[in-house]
Amino acid sequence: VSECVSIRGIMGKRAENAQMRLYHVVGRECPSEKNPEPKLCRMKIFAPNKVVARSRFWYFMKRLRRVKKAVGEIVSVNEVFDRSPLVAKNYAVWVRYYSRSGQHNLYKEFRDTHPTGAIDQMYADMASRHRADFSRINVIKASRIPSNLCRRPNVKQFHDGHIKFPLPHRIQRPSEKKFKTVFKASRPNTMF
Amino acid sequence: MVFRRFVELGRVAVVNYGPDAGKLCVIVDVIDQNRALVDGPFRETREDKKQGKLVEGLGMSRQAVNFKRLVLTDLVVKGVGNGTRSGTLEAMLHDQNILERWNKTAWAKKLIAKKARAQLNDFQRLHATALRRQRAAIVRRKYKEIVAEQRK
Repeated sequence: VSECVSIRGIMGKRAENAQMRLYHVVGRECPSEKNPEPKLCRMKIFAPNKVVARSRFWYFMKRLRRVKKAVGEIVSVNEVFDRSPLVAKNYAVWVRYYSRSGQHNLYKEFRDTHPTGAIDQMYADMASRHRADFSRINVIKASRIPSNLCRRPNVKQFHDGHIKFPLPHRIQRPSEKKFKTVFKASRPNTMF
Repeated sequence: MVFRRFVELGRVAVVNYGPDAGKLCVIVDVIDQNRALVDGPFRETREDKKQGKLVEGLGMSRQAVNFKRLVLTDLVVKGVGNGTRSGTLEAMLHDQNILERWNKTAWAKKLIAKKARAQLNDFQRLHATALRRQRAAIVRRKYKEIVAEQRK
């Protein structure tokens, strides 16, 4: 399924609280006598900023194409945005990660409005379930998938046009942090 | 324990935390267990070119909001699906008089009163105290009459 990305920003560009950004990095080996017109390689990299994006680009280039940063050049780095950031979507993420005893592949699904939000969820999920942090995770692919291709019941339960559920046992929060108190005069009401 | 207010497409909710606190919105889609896609398609009082007058607004743009920041109301906008656009939703809000119905509720009136009270200046607060004292005097007088009646 093709992803819809746009280099030009649109209204409501990036997921508001997402720590990751999606970069479109294009680079190649430097032209040499042996190879006067090297092929351009492009990667879609999820990284917190451009610097890390460039670094990850070379990390993968070295492993997948045997091109080091010293003999290569990055042609462009652009942040890319989702075309429909205000629509709830299903994202499938294919991940390769290093555990304490070996490397494994994983397939995970997340619901989010933006691919970077889904990747944020993935990193949080990997950290909690597998104790894997950013440096031990390689995102093989992240793409939007239609509802009929989703496999995880966790995600499929939201594919309901007449979805309806209560919010049980709610915890009352003060409207601002400054109104928070340690002690309260009365027991809280959890039904609201 | 019976649940009366549900998260559903079209449920009207009040935001109670964050920069949009106090605003009304409509749940337009459920993203996941923790978040709803929410829309309050009116902007703050703007001019409606079709009606040719100022239109009052709920004033929230379409965005993902955590359920923890929402308090569900009793109002539900009928006919909202997960593809409903802001314009369509705005028309539904108009047709179903959501804002009017909301303003009639005790909840809405309390919110307005709270806001008004928070914005009183010192003289207004003094005036309010004087009025409260007058009301208490009337109540006390009436109570004494009733007690005196009972004693006879």
